[in-house]
Amino acid sequence: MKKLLTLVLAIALCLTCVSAFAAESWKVTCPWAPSGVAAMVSQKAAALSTTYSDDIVLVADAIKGDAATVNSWVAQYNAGDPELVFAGEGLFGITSILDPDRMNFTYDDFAYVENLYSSVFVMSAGANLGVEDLDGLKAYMEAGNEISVACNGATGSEAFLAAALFGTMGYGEQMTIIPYESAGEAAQAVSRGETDLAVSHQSQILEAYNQGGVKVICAFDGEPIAQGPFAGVEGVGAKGYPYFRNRCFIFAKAGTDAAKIEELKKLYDDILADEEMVTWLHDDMLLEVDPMTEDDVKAHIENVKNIVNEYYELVAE
Amino acid sequence: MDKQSSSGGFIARIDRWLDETGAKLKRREMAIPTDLVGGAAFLIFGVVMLLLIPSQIEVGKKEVVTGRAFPSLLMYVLIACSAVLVLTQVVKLVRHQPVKTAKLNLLTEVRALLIFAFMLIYFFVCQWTNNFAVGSCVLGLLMLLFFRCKKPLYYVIVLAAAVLIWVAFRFGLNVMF
Amino acid sequence: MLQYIGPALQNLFRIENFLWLNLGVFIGSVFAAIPGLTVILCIILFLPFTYQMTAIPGMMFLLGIYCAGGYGGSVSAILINTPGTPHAAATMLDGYPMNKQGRTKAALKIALYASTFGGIFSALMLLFLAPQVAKLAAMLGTAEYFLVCLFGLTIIAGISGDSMLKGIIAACLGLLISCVGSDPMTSRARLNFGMDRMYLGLDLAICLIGLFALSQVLTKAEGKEERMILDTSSLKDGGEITREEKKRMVRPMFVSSLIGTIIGIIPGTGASMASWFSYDRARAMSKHKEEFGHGSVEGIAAAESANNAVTGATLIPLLTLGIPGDGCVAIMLSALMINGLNPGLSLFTTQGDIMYAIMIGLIFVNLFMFLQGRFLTNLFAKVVSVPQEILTPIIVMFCFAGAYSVNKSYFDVGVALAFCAIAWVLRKIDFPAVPILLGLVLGRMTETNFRRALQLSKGSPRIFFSSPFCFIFIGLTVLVVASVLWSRFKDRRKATDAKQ
Repeated sequence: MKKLLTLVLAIALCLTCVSAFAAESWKVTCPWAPSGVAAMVSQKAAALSTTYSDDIVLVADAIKGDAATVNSWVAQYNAGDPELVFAGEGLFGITSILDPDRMNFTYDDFAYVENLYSSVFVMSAGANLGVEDLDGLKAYMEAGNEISVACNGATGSEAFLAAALFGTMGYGEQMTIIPYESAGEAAQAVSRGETDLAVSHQSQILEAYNQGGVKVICAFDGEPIAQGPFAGVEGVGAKGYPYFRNRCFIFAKAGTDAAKIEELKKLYDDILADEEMVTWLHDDMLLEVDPMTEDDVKAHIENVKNIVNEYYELVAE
Repeated sequence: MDKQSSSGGFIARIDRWLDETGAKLKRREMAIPTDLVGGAAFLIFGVVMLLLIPSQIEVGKKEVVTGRAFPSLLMYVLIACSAVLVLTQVVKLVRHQPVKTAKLNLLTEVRALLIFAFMLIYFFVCQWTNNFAVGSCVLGLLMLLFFRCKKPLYYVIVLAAAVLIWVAFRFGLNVMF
Repeated sequence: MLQYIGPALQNLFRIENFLWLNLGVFIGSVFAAIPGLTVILCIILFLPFTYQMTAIPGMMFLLGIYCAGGYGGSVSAILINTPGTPHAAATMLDGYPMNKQGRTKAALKIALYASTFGGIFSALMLLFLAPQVAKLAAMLGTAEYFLVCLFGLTIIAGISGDSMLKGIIAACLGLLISCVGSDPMTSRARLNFGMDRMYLGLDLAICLIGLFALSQVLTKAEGKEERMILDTSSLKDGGEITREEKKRMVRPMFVSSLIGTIIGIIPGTGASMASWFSYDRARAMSKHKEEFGHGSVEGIAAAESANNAVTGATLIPLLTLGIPGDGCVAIMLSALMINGLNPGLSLFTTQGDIMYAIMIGLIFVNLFMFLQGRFLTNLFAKVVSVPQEILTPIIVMFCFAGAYSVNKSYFDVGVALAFCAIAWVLRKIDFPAVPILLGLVLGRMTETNFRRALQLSKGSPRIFFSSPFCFIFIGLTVLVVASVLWSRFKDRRKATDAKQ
């Protein structure tokens, strides 16, 4: 009996080892904050990878820091290395203009796999400010008031969205960006009245909104928000203001076998079509599943670059 | 048997040489006026940093308090404190009062520098081989030799620990090195 | 609240939860006891395990790591004069001297008792006062944060040793090092000296490895060979703590738990600040000030109860406002959100049974930390009997592995070595290293809040006098500075009188 049990255990162990080594591990490095939106979605996707592939296991990793520094691996790794990284419009659209010296690589060093999610940023106002929507905001600015906007970081997507909005309105000089160390801090600042406005992901302002500390006045999108707690909030695009969505692109090293890239893309597409994943992204993270082609990605980056070039002075001077 | 005794003799000779060298080094001591030297070093450091800050920190046009303000303020405080420290020591020297000193023993310092050199070797071996276990084994061996350890079991334990730590990090925690 | 307690207990009292809780406590204790392996790193590494679990066992596992990590850092601080985690640095000041006196087990026990007390104290605060306390904490703004930091800098006076001038110089160095990296207000690179990687700044845990762990290895190597073999007879202490010592522990434990809880609810502050504040207060309030730095029971008790009191308190803004109190809790936020729980007051009504199960679970985490700690204390105490020839290289290996793991970069290992060299030079010229650590802890927060406050007020300093909280913190700072100056003046007069 003992021998049989030992044999069974040994076979089980061997099978486990074989199955573990049969699948190829791809490390997915997420820059920014290890507890941020991208890191969370990446972890969730990695947990689902074994459900949709016998050949590839995604291992989520997070390193705190900006994408330009963290992604400097690009210069070090070889094509085909099982390494994936995230980058967004912040890297290719903002850092490439604001601080090109820190870019040790170009877009061509990457091979695009898929877009992990799209997020529509929202602008919220302190409950006591008396601003409820875009028209109200415009009227407030017309009255000559100065305004402070809390953002996560000094030169991130949030700061440029705010600059683009006020710059287009013609009140860029009345606006001050107040950078915070996290989106949570920015949400708290507007909620307690320290700043007048804040720009953030929808999920990051939700609790302050639920507690009545803020009013969400507009979304940085073309259309009104379709669903969720902020459904109906007007999009700035409908009134002719510039905007972009926040995206998180998954990249491999350029030169990686096209078939492998296709396999990775299919895996991510399967994961992003998973019913549990879709529900979680929509209902809990207030994000959208938004698969994109490489042409879409390039157009998105170009749009962001145009905005950054136009409103550079309001944010970075 | 002959081989054993000759190797034993070799080790004994090395031991003797190390003891003699150690004894020589141990006799060499020097006293340094710590506050004076420390104060002067920080004074120079503060001035150099103040000179470097403009080239190391860019500032924008609209900043209410620039990125240079805080580091510069710190350096002014550091320079002021260092200057006071140096002046008090100089006054004591002029008045022939005792100043605070520390004795540096050559043997002690050489031992510390050797260990630091081992750490540097460890660092470069890890980077060069891109394998933490190899570097750790090298460090383990160097340190045991430094401590003049003659127990084979200690060598086995340290080398096994080097490999085990690597295995735990590499496979348990997925840290690739 | 009461209507949720029954279902919460039902949810909590499952074998699965307690198994994960205990596993987390064990991993956290061991991980944090190893220099270089911080609690946050441990939580990041083990987070993926929780994705297959539901919210309660997942959180029990992570809370186990988090709370036990608060205690585990003290183990290496006491045993090898190297804080396993940054927040155990204050424990080192008295823990190691007590160990050297042959009272290793007693020091470890005091740390365990104090940690458990602090942990349970804050867990009870979380359970009964979370919403009220969170609302109060949310009222603190940028100006108040700066004034808290300013108050924190007064601690320099207490940890400078013989010369406050040297302490201030060392603290300035630490504060300057905290400026390295991206400018928090403009994102421009600062003091990077042409090295791109410096943009991420210098991680506190890595600096700590160099300043204390690796430099301690040099100190050991400097000693004579015969001193490398430890006198194991000193280990024969049974870890007894006298009744008088127990009595002396009570006040610092209570006060420090309160300080730890208050610091913990202020997002972004953290356990390091709490333990330094508490250590400083305990010394100020003690009748045995002369024992501090030489193995004071009160010193260990204060630092340890404070850093564990932070654990429950950081959950208060997280669970009530969705704002993580520190980095570890931010990772836990993602564990909750992945399970579909968006923390906030509304969750107390929609998922009250889960929320209360987690909060009650935190009390059990501390109790099991105590039980495991009782067993592990004996095990840990044996570490000092390991021959130094074996222990020293192993410590260096762990330091290197830990430094590398933070960002998966050899650059960080190089930084740790550079800090080791700095610490060695400072020791030779008799400058204290601890104020550098304090500067590193407070630097970025002090500067960021100072500049942001002035940006908000368009340069007017009146913002620092804009709320009652501001006046409280200004008052406290003035009081502490005045008392330090007064005591220095008294000491000098005594010395002059003695000479005459």
